Amino acid sequence: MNLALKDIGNDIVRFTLATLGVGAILVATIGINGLYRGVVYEALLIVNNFDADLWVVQGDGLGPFTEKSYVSGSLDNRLEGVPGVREARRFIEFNKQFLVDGQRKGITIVGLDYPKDHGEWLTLIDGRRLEAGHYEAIADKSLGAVVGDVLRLGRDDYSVVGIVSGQVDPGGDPLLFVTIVDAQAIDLFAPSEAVLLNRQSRSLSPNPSAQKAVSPRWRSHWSRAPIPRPYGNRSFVGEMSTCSRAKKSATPCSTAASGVSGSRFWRLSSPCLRWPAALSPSLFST
Amino acid sequence: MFTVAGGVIAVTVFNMTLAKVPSIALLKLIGAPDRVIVGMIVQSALILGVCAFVASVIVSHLLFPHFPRTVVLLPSDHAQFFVVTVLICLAASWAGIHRAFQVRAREVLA
Repeated sequence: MNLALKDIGNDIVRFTLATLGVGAILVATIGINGLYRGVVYEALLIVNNFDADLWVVQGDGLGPFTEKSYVSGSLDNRLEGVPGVREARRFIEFNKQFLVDGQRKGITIVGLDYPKDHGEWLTLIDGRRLEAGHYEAIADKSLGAVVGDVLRLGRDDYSVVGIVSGQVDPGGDPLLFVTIVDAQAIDLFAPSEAVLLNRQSRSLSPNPSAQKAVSPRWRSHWSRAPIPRPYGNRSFVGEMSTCSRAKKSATPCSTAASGVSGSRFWRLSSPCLRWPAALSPSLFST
Repeated sequence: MFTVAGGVIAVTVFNMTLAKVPSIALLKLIGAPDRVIVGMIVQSALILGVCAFVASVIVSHLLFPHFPRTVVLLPSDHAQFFVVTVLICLAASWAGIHRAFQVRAREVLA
């Protein structure tokens, strides 16, 4: 005869209530522990997904996830010329508010270097990966969109072609994967009023380099979108910090970089395109 | 967090023992050795702990996927929590055992 079992059987209600009480506190403990692990997991999500051997970011900073980091548009080509680098990919990520289904939602746009990166490393739960250079997006489930939805981001309509799960930024906002050029276009979009105000405040600015920016030659390119950001005298590709993105190569690389990616940079398509209207004067004080 | 859980389990086990005081007094009266009584308390604490743990794991896996934030439930974490729960139950049963030793066999005759 087992006394403990007999005793429990004697007053099963009491035992059930005691179990519920202890069980509740254990659920809370498991939840707290799980939440902490979840926060760490989400914070490292992008880094682990891209799985780069090295990240190349703006010098003298901690970017791109702790602070803003801008690098030159030609950085990926230049890095591919470095001995030991097998592949370099570009990387853009920024957070913006958009109107989705009439509601303002914060979405983090992640740019995929399209021809090299279709998003093969994403585990889709629905739809397909990117197959065009423009106007396609892969959305996270938490955004609430389904395959075939059309999102108005910036100036263009993007159709959702794939859905992934669990891809959120550390703040809890869903990620949206588009091509790099699309991400640039979305980031540079500003309403006409903002553009005019920026242009006006720039022309009033005492900074001579800002004044020079509003050139007639640039204005002739105004109708073309997107307009890349300027890098001018700010040489962002100063010191290479220790990170860059690449595929893992089978043979170990002799130099430090086995692949690179710039974080949040823009391709300068022609040297005369320097100052987009969408910048505020404060950015010109270097 | 485990300190809080330990405190809650200790209080629960203590109350369970408190409810058993007449039975413990009777056992002492009929001459049951101490190890029987201690065994009963420890076993009931362990059964409580194990059942509560199993229930909590089941409830966690049903509840937390619906949370707005990611909650990561790892089997290694569950194993660790199980060990800690058992240890807490053993430590908490000490409170009940201490109370049980204070029971005088004469109480049941009152």
